Amino acid sequence: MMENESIAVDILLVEDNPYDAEMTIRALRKKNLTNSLIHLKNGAEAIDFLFGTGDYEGRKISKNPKVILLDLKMPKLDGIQVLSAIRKDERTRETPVVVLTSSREDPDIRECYRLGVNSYIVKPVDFDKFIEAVSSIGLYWLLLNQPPVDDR
Amino acid sequence: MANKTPVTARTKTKRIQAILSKLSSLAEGDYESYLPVSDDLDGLDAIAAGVNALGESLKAKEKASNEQEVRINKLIDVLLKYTIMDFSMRCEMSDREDELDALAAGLNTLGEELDYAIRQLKQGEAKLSKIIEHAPDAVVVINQEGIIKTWNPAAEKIFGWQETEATEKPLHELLIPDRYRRQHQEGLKRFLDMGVSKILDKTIEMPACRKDGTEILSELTISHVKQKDGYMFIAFLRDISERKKAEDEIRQLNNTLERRVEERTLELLESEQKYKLLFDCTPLPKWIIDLEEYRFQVVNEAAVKHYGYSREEFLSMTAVDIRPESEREKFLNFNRTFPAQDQNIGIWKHQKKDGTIIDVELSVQNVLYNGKKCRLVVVNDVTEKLKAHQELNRINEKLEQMVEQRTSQLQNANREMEAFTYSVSHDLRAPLRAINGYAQMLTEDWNTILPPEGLRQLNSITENATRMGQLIDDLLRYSRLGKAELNPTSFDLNGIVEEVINELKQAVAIRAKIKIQELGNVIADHILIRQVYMNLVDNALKYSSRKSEPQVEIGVNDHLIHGKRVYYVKDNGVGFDMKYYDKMFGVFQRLHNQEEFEGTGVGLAIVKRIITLHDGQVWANGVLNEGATFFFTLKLN
Repeated sequence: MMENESIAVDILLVEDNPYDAEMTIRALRKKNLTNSLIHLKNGAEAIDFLFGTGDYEGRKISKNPKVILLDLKMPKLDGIQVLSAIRKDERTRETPVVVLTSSREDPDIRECYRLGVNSYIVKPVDFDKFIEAVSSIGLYWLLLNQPPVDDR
Repeated sequence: MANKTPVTARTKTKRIQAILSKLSSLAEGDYESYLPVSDDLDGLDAIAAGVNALGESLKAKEKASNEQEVRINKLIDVLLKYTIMDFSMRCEMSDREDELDALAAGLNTLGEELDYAIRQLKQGEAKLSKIIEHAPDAVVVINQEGIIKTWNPAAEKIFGWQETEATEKPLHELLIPDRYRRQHQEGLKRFLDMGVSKILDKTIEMPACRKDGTEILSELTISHVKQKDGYMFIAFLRDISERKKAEDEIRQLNNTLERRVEERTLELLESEQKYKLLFDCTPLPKWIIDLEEYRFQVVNEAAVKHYGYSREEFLSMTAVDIRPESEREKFLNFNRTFPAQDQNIGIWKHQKKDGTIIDVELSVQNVLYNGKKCRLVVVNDVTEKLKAHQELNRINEKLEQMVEQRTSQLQNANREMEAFTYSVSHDLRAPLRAINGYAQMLTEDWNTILPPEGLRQLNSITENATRMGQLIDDLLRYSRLGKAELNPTSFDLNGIVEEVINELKQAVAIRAKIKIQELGNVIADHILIRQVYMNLVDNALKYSSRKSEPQVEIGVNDHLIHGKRVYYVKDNGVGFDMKYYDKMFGVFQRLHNQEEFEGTGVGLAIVKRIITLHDGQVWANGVLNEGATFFFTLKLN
């Protein structure tokens, strides 16, 4: 699944729930932030994509995403494992990761911060609030935040 | 002599007649006259001379006989003097050395001897008197009529009668107690009549009277002498009242002593028996070992039974022999280094005759036994006890393990439950969000072509989804309280009540008149108590919202219940029927339907849970359509 290799990815959305994903993308699109968004449906895919392995074997990794929106509860590799892998690898260590999850569980929050997450957002149940939250995240990380210097 | 005259017949006759007369005088004892004798020396003269010679001879004879008589009379006088105990006279001796002289000499010797003897006697008597006078004993002499003849100073002293008062008085009147007088007189009479006496020359004890009427006990010895005028009795009396008393005391003391000795002996016997009993009649084995060789000196029946050794076997062994090899050194070391004294020396291992090794708890006491330093050992076989103890420990451990296991199971279950509720919340939320979102998206994207009925239906979908979200949230909040740990701090209740009201004001317009009393400080979990007020005030506002003049009162009672302050939140709203009271604090229990008043039915359940966590109580009063008051108690500061 070799998507447009040359295009630098702004947002990497890792979300197994297609409805949440659609709503997230809809919110971001309303702010025109979806030009270079890639949606992956589980942790394993995310790892393969980021490190050019598995299905993404040979993918040319030009630039890291400006932000990775990471769900926690996912089949196969869950969000925490993905976060751990990202922070362990030199290539992705500095990439901003925002956990976007339904879990308000303390252990999850604690573990994510311990692994070096940049932000932890609980998905609001209310649709409007959800849209607002996602929009804010997108605007902040893509427009306001200065991404880390990429040496590659 | 005779004148020479002519002899004549007549002269002759005269002469003859003179001779005859002379003879007759001689015959009559008249020897003084003599016959004249003439110088003629005739016949008559010869006769006259012869008669004169005879006269002379008779006269001499008579003279000699008179002398004898005088001498004899003199001897008789001396003898008479002797008989009246006058030995001062002596007989005169003649130089004739005849029989009378011999007699006189004998008498004189006798007189002298008697004189000496009497003098001796008198001396003795004087001595005797002195003795009697100074004798410490009363010496009383009576004659055979019982009249007192001698009464010495000791008698005066002992009996109180002076010598002058006592002498010549009958003894029985002075000394003999009434009850003995007859006996005394009879005894005296018997002796005089028959010479028999029960008391003479013996020492007897007799009560005797004193002048002052008191009686003493005397030790009495009576001797008797026969004198010319009858018997004399000499009585020696000694006051032995004191001695007797002392003797009695001594006797009594002796008796007491004897009795005590007897008692003590009995006691000793008894205690020996007791000890023997104690030693023998006990289920605990006991023995005594000496401290040199640890040899058994004595063992009780229980030891014999318990260890299987006969008494004889025991007595031939030492305490080392009843220990397993492995323990012997320990035993010897212990005794070398620690001479145990009267105490429990802990648990040891012994070996029975059949080889069984038992655990025994030993109590020891050092004793002297048969003069040897020994040790009394009391054995308590704790093998079974130890086993039971170990078993108990094992069971306890098992129980503890089980408890631990159960606890961890419970903890696991709790964790699982938590995980479950969270995943429920997560997994339930996601579809809700989707339902909500898609309904919203539908509205947003297609509202221009949807008919009003379609929009209303979409709205119902959104409303229900929202409500379900609230239910999930409340459920989560409630379940989270189950494992909540209190974090008590001191805070002002009025502060949180204000916060709560402000927060509520943001959500809905508040029409009600809210009256807030001074509530004071509490020590409680700030967040949880805030939740309590949030729920109660929210309820009060909600259920009074339809009233024309809704009123809510937040206060505290003056009186305490069980030492706790009573807080309340009161409204004048719809109230409730007390018959549904039981349902009120249950989860998802509602007394109103959703159209009337919104709500999930978790609020009061949460209130109850929080207050219960604080050891408080919750209750309510309500009258349908008049209002409700919710009470809860919290500990004082």
